[in-house]
Amino acid sequence: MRSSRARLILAACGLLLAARFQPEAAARPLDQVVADGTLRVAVYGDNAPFSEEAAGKPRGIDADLARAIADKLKVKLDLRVVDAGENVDGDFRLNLWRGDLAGSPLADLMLHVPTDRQLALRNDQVFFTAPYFDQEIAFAYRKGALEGFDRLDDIGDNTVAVEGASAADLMLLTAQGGRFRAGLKHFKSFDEAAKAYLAGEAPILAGTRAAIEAALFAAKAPREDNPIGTVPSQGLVKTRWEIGGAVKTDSRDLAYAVGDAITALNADGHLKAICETYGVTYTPPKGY
Amino acid sequence: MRMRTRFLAAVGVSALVAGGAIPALAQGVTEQDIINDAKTPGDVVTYGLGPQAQRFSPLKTLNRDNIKGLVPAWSFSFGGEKQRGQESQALIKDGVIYVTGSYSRIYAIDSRTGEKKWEYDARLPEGILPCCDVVNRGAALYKDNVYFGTLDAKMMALNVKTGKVVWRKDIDDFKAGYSYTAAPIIVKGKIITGVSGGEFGVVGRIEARDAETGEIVWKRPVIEGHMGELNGKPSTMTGKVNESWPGDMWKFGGGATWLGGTYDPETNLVYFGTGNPGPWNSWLRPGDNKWSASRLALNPDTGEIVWGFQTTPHDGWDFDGVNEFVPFDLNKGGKTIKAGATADRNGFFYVLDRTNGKFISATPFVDKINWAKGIDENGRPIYNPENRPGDPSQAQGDEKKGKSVFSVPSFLGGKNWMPIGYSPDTKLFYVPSNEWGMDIWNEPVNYKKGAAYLGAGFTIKPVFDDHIGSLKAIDPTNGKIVWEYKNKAPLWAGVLTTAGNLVFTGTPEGFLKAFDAKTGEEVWKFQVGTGVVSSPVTWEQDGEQWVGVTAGWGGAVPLWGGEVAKSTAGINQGGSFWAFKLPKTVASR
Repeated sequence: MRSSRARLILAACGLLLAARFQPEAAARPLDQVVADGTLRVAVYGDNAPFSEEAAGKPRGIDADLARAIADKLKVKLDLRVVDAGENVDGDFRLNLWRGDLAGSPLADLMLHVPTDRQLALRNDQVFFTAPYFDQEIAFAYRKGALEGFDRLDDIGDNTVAVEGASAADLMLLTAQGGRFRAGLKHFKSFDEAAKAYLAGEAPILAGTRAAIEAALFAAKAPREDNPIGTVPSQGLVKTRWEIGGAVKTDSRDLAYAVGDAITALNADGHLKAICETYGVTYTPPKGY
Repeated sequence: MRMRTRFLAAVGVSALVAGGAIPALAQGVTEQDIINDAKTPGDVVTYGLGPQAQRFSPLKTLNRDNIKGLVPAWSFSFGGEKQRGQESQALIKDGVIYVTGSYSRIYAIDSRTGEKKWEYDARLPEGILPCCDVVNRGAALYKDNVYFGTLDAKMMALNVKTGKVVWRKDIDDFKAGYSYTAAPIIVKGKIITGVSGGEFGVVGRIEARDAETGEIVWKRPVIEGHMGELNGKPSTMTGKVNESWPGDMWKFGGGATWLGGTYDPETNLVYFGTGNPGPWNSWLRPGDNKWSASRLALNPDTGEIVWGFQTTPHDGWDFDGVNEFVPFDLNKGGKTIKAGATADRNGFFYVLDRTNGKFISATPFVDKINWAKGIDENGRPIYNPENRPGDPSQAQGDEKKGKSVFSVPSFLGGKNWMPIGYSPDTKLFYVPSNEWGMDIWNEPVNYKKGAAYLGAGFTIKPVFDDHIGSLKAIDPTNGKIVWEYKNKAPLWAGVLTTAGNLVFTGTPEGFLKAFDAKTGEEVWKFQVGTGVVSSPVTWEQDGEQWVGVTAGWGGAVPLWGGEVAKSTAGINQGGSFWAFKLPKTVASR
């Protein structure tokens, strides 16, 4: 994939201004993907343990899943790490159907898409694949600091390390009329929040269960010293959602093929094995 | 590999065409040229036709009686295959026009013939995500350099004669959500800028660099609790921690200073507006949230805040009060007060004492404002609590939305970025405004980076059936609207006023229009073939008065759909600069 991108950029060098303004390569249906022999997949940067760039290379559950899907479709993988826009609706526009204002090429498939009917209904330019993972908001806490964690009241006056404007943050900011606001310690990324928790700056870490598990795993922090708890959903902010993939709406056959690949990877234990590489418990979407 | 950070190795090459003789006496732009710009109609060396940005020219040649003779002299195309919004105000010095274009481009053009001297196209990284179109609002001139900022948050100094890069500095990291679209200002050898960007973690700041080297002299974060910087050392803290923010939310408080500033040589103060606080939902950050949605006056030598005035404390409507503050002398009760005025996104026209920020008056400049009942004698809004978007923590069980409210004006503002003007002759302000409101609610079915997110749902709606745009002449002594010109589509262009009793502005429908400054009567129009969303200029050349405007439809309006889109449907994009002149033979008739 690196070499193909390098070629594209080299070609652009010769074309001066015109190159910047070439029409975007469109997202493609299955027959074109197969004929071309390459599947172009967009995953988010800074989204560990699902996707991130480490030492210039993409890694994570979504990166591995993209490769496994490409293998099932018997095509090569062209993986693109993209920055998240203001919302997922915008990411569909940027990555799948219209492209950005700078003319970056489109992808055939985007991963880490919340499988939500309302989201699908208002984005009729894209079509969703079957989901592959069940996300939920969770809390890790330092054993001894809390007696247990199964409701928000257990936070008490403790400090919670959290990524700013994340689902966990918005849930905590809005919960119980804002009673936990003063105790929130905000960070620009989940990674920074996890580091602060591990360094003892806060007795509680909030985030998604997968991100928390992966952070503890990477830091070799024993799970028995850092139990993970969840709370029932309340208020406006969702605490649980499924993630899948999305393609451009005229490429439904590609979405079905990707869905079949995901089903097979779930059935043969491949998805579970991928998750375990990162210390994450595979939580399949309901319906499997 | 990382798509959104990879540079397209395409352009960045300046085409140098040594067309025309460069005047032998050209000295470059001095500090004195900048301070006197409003009085020297032979050139336009600042954004705003003078550091106070009154956008007033003392030229009288052109007037309502002879304006029928104003004819196009030439038109210059920006070229390229992508166009989008052209919001740039041109600068003119020694027979050369310096004008910026969309996608971070800048052109030097012979002001008499329209021939290109050079062009510079910034290399933009793939995947820049500017929130609101790929615009640029203009450049600054100082000595032998022309300065402009780019969408990937860099400030550039180019040689005026060759277009070659003298220096290029990062304002901030575009990957973290920063950008730059405003016109920089030059004050006492420093280039003073703000930052653009609305991502979580972006805190607005104003900073000064040595114009010759690009090195930082001072930085002033606008949100309380953050430490300033002077000559490489920490200076003073802005405000006090937790004075008007809960918990640690001031650390990520927003307040982007994306529109740039003005400077008043009389008081030696620079004035900047600051944007909305974050997160958008005001219930999550009880308090005034200083200094978001404010006007700040700073000492240009040190970056110290001399005064601050908050137009929308605890902003819950995304009013993003960055609007420019225009110094003028207010004659009231037989006294002359050193005042300044600002037409805020929130729909009120404020007059403040520019020496100390003391509130003088605030009056509505758009109709049917309902988020506040008015502004009290201390300058604070008298809120309508029922018109604040709902508290998400009070949402019950199956309530899938927070309470939806219809709020006027919409978050695009009673006035958005487009600069106002002031005529010391008529003693009136000219404000390009828009009459629109919005339905706004908490939107729980929202996702960011694949994760649940509490966003805002909104729909912008016109307030009147027949128009959204409204150019108003406002008397700053009493806030009365003296005249109004109504335009079907939203107005998005700046204004220009002249001693010839004229006011110019552009429309999305593609007209550059002129009005009688006293009565508002439309006296001239010209169709440029695409929408006008920029600020016109005028200058004198070879004994004739010229008018120039950048053309090209875009900006934030076409990014929103709904009812508003109907008023702009079918407008074509473009990218050009138009120069008009009143021929001597016509003027002398």
